[in-house]
Amino acid sequence: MAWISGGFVVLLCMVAVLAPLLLSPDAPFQISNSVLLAPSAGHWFGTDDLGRDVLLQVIWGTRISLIVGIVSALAAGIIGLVVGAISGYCGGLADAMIMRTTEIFQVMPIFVLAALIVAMAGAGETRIIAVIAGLSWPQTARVVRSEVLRIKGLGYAEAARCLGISEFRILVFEIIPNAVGPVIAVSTLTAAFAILLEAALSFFGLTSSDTISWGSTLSTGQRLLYTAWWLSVFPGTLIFLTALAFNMFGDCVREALDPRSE
Amino acid sequence: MTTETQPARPLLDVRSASISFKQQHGAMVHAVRSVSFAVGAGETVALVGESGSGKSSLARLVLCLTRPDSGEIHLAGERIDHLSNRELRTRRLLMQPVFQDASAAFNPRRTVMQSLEQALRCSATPPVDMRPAVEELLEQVRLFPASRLLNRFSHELSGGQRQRLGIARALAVNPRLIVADEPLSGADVSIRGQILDLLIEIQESRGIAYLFITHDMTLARAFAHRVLVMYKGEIVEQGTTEQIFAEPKNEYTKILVKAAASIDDVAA
Ligand SMILES: Nc1ncnc2c1ncn2[C@@H]1O[C@H](COP(=O)(O)OP(=O)(O)O)[C@@H](O)[C@H]1O
Ligand SMILES: [Mg+2]
Repeated sequence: MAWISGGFVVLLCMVAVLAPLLLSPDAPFQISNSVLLAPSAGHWFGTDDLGRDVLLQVIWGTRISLIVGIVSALAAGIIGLVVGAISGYCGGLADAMIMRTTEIFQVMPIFVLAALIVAMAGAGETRIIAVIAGLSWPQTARVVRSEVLRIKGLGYAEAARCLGISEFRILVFEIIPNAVGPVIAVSTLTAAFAILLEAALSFFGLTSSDTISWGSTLSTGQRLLYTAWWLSVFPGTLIFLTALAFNMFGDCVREALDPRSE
Repeated sequence: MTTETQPARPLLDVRSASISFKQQHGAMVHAVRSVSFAVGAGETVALVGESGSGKSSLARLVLCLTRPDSGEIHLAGERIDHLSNRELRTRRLLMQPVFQDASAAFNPRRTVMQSLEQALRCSATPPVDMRPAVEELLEQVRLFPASRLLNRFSHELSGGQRQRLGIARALAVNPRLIVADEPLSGADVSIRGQILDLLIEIQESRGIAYLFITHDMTLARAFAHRVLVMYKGEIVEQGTTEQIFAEPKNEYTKILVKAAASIDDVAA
């Protein structure tokens, strides 16, 4: 499973990186007379209602989906790591305040909020990333905090303290390196969620119309589900597989990072 | 109080130290109640008592990992319980811990070399050449062949090896007191004897004092010069090992001594 999910994630990354190098930027937007063609040798994934090649659109969409997924997971992971570490290590009032804040975030409906913000402030990947990262760091923070609380009472943290090593160095060199495993697991979930959310927002037409993503292709597809199944099936399957692959990949990375597992 | 003479200027002097904890459901636990005792240089003091009697809490107080609610802790003639962590930095090298759970005693991301290097770097005079210093430490605790263990992770060692590694780390900063919290209760019987021998040998060569925490009276009898008996957070009796075993005064001590004697009978 590690190889399949990891291989799939790597393949997607390669597609995302190579697409702009090998394709001209307007290739996926190329309108033609061959509208709604079923998959064939000429158009592997068929064409849409404007005669655009679905394969090209899907390839181009990989970029948006992956960038949104990875960048928002990365941002949420970093914010969560820092905030969670402060919360767990300082304790007291800072900890109490941070934990109340994360609880508030936890009951917020992220999708509705994201839709509202994008609808009011306008579309754009940066905004979507900011919204997802801004709303999903609390999960990571809570995980990190509980890891920090666990590890700071373990023998090696206590031993470091007895050696006169400063609290800050103990946090950075003893505790945090042993708390990143769960962070990565949560981050891949965030990435999968972000990809789904971006797809959903595009699906509802809440993203700008001149960017192509899997969600926007899917959105065209659902209007024509009975006449042109390929418009929905290909991007839909990719969204599903990618979210799945990120989840599984995260588990594998976390296991690989655990120094105790063979 | 007992009548035996206390060391003139003890290495460790704990005076009426108390600590209580608030438990999750809000109740207060008086883990350590007004405990006083001293440990002289080069002496082995066993702290015995059943599980939950407050031994580990007392060890953590001594090590300044938690601060007492009241009372004082003096180390080498200096009061340390009210010092900041920064002020404590060099002073706490005089005493080092050895933990019961050797598997959590080492950062799983550090190799044997890295863990011992970290400890050596904290010593008052860090060695310039780390590798020979680390190998020497490993040889002192009879971990052979040192050169092959250097790049292992602690979780790749056996339980006995890990416990020796714990002792090596404590020795790295040349302490005068080792606070060992049930260091043998995780190890099996054959290894216990070996590690006990190692501790005795180290004491003879370095003149180190031990505060040796155990719930095993037989072990205390075999190893300690003096015994502190702890019960429900208090030290109910203290004296030389002979005194405690020959004429225990406290009721609880009598029960412990009797139980230990009957175990010895079975073993004999
Ligand atoms: N950090 C803590 N928070 C709350 N209660 C504690 C804490 N440390 C110890 N205790 C309580 O103090 C008592 C003594 O525990 P401990 O010192 O571990 O005893 P021992 O080492 O003799 O088994 C126990 O009732 C334990 O639950
Ligand atoms: Mg204990």
